[in-house]
Amino acid sequence: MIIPKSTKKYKVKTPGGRTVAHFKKRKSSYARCKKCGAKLNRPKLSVEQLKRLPKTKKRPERPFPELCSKCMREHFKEKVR
Amino acid sequence: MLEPGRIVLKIAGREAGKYAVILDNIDDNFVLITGPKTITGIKRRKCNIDHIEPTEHKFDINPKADDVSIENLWKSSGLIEKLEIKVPMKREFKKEPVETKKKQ
Repeated sequence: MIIPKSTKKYKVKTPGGRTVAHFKKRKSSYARCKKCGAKLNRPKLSVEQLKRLPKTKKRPERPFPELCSKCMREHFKEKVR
Repeated sequence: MLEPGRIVLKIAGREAGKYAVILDNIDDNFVLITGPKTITGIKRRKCNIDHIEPTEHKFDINPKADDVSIENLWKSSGLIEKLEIKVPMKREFKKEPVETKKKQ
């Protein structure tokens, strides 16, 4: 497995007296609205953990799940006016 | 603006983007709406005023109209093609006679 250079390391002292480097796990970034960039209320997990979740816990039931709810309302208001 | 007969667009929740007809004003904040479900997919329900957006179209109805009469108004007005509403298809289950082999 290839570990990228940007991963952070920390030192751990083993029972045998050696000090070894351990690698920190990388965290995924927040999901953001595509129009205004606000944070969305989505699980902040790795791709493998997201696969175990059901579909309804990964996105909302309403249309345009990639937008925040304010931007979605404005989109429909412009459609009518 | 939000009087009985007005056609509105729902802008919040899982029914966002679907059209409905106002039937009655319940109080200052809530109205009674219906799609009906066979045309637009919204059941007869109570709805907050903040969650709907009025359009320019209007029907002449009385507040106690049932869903079948509103369904006929939608079809006769020609608004289904104008507003590009996807009407769900009615499913018809026809039982086909099963062919059984007769012993000769």
